[in-house]
Amino acid sequence: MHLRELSPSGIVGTGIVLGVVAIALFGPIFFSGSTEIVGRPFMMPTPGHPLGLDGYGRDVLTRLMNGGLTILLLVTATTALVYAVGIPVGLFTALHSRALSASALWLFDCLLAFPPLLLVLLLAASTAGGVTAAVIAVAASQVPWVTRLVRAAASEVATSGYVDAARLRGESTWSIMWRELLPNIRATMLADLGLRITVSILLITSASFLGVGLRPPTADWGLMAAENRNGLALQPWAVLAPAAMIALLTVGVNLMFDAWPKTSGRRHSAELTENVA
Amino acid sequence: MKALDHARRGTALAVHDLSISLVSAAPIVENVGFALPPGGSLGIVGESGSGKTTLAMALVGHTGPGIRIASGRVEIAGRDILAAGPKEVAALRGRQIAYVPQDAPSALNPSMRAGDIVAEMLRIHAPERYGSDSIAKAMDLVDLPSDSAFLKRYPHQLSGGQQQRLAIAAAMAAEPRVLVLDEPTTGLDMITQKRILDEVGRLRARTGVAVVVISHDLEVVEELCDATLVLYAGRVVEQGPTRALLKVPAHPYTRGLIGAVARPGVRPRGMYGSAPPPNRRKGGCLFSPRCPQAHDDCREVNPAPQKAGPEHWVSCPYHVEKTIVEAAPIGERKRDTCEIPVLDIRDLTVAYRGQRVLKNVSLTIQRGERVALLGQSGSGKTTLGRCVAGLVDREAGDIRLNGTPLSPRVARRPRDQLRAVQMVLQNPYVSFNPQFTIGATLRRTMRMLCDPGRAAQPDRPRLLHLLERVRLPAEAADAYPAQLSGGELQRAAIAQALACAPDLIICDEATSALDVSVQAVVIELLRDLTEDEGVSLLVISHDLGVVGSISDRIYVLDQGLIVEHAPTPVLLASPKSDLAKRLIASRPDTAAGSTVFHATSQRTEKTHDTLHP
Repeated sequence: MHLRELSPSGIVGTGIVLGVVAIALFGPIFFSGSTEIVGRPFMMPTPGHPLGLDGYGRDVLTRLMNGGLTILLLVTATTALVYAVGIPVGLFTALHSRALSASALWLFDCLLAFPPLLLVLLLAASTAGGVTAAVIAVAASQVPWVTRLVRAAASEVATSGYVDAARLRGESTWSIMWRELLPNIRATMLADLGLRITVSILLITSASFLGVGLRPPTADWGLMAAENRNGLALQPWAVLAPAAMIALLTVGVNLMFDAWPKTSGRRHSAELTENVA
Repeated sequence: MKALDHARRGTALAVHDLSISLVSAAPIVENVGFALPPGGSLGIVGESGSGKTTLAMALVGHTGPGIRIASGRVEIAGRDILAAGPKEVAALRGRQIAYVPQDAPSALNPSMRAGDIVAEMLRIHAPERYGSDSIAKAMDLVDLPSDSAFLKRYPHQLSGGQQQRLAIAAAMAAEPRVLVLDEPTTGLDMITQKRILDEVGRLRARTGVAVVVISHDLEVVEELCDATLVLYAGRVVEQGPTRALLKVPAHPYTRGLIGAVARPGVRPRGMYGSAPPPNRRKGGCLFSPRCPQAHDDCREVNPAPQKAGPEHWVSCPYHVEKTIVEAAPIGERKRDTCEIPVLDIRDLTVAYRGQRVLKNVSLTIQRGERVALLGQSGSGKTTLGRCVAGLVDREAGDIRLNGTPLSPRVARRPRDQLRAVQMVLQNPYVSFNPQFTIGATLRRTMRMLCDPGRAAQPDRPRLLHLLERVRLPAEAADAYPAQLSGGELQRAAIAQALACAPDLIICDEATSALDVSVQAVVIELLRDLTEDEGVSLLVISHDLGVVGSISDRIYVLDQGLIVEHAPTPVLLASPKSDLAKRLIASRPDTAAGSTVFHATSQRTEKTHDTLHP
């Protein structure tokens, strides 16, 4: 993958994502004291506090710089969990459509019936409501989609001659899954990855907003938007700034991943054909 | 009907100096010219990538995305369709010239009923004739029923032959003067092919429509066309009356094509290499790299058309030196059959979704023997091959390899059995994982299948030796599948099958996706391998030509039952079963009366005209 192969929107998206990630990663190093009260609640921006203060009188910019890391970590964890379950199950069920596969899919279809946010609330409420519960709940609502997608894409590949050829030379199910199927559904998976990350961002921040998962006084963009919504009229920046960061991250991720599949995959010149012929 | 006497009878379609190129200016078709008299017929023959479909579409004034007309004229009813405005083009299409695209099943809108497909053509191109009478007339032209039950059917409810005929009926609905048929028989089984060819012949006789047939198949063109034009890499290499052109082919490429046609009892001769793609066409004769009689100046000088006979033109200055010899007849082979057969299938029954696709099938193959399984689509022949390979479960019966029972499932077979039974699949383009080089896949096969003693040897020299055996150059080892042509991939697939000294290779329609010249290369290779290495072959095919040119013995499979089996020459000379008789009758070269493909068959010659009433 070369940057020059990306479309303009892909470059913009990648730039936005890199910027937001840089803020999330390096912000905490340069801006400390996110829980310090430095002035009057909902104070409008001043030269010392360019984004003003929040409902507790804490500096919005400092909190903004500290609030991205949690989201990044939670989204990464959620997405990793989703794919760690969805890919193997999807690949396996594409190869073997027997009773075991059928029941696994049936179970996942039941999960699909729940609205994702309701599932998040339900799971978080039935446990202690910690961060882990939020991650598992968000992942659980995403796994059925990924499994279905992997299965659909892999089923098509599974009828290819090279999968037959692999079975004929005695490859195990495991190696057919990882060697023959997965690399050949990569484009589909990448196209979906952007959507999965976006939905994870939305659900994780929604969970924070609803008070599930992360707890105050943690600096977190989702929490910040929730805490300060009462003061929207007094000091809009306390809500708009974190909301804008979430929006930027979402839009950037989508632009980036929409551009990727078009440029990934093997493209070969006809160069060799002539020599070989 | 005499070909090309358009001076007297006027022209239905005239193409002058037509060149079509990519937007990048790389030429797809160069300086093509021909004239078609009213009611005449012209065949345009070429292999994949020759530009024949691009040419066919240009005849109806259409170019695909990224393609443009570089120069030239296409005159229909005295007007140049390439210079005409959108309205005029629309008026010419349908009424003057109609196009039947390749692959009718995908060309027909699946959500439209048969009657509506024909009605739409009338509504757009001949609204004054719109009505059920005209629809019935169009259906009648191609011998399709015109009752309301049939007209209400959707394309998927029709057979392949009916779909093709419906596409022709729709094209003929507005009574055009010229009909362009793009690969009218490709993808149909032999008997349906024959029926479509007869149908087009009758259509011409009844309506006087002029026909342009685009095909890779010389036999189709021989059957349908008065005149033929041979296209190679976008250039006309030879053009003339079909009979003369096929009987006394002048261009080395045409001679090669004719020699490559697989037909019973004859060893086809392949042409190695492939035509250059548009961006790699340089000066000189484009065929010269593959030409057995190329001279030094062939690579530099662009050959001008020369007269080779009355109305017969050839673009080769050396066409008088005819070096390509006739395809050689096959001699009979003797082998002792007393040993244990390599493959012994007894009473095999296979069910798929509750339906029996194979019923009590028994089949044996001796060591070094080439056995063919001949059948129509849906006969269960592919299932049989996959069942032997262990990819399909069986319901009952016994399959033995060298006397030892084979497990029904490939996953349960010991390594030695996996090594012994190999398979070459129908579609070479998906036979290799696109993520790995050919060499990587072949090495993996060797690692997994060969015995440990051999696996200890260095991989690279063995890999190169393997490629050499299927006549692929060393570069192929480092190539990804997307970089190789279909023929090269199929040879690589054969290399994979050969990797660890197999006892039996199953070829499931292994040549049907390939061009004629490449198909001949693969057939030749498979024959040599069985003769040199004692490998047994199970060839599964619907193509009597392929089967007849490769096998020692033929089993005929009809709806899951073996209806006949006999040594190939015996079966070809005196078929017993109904299906075998019909298959043999469906081929121009085995049926009496062919002008060209009769040369080596022992049948009595009748006049060509008996085929064209």
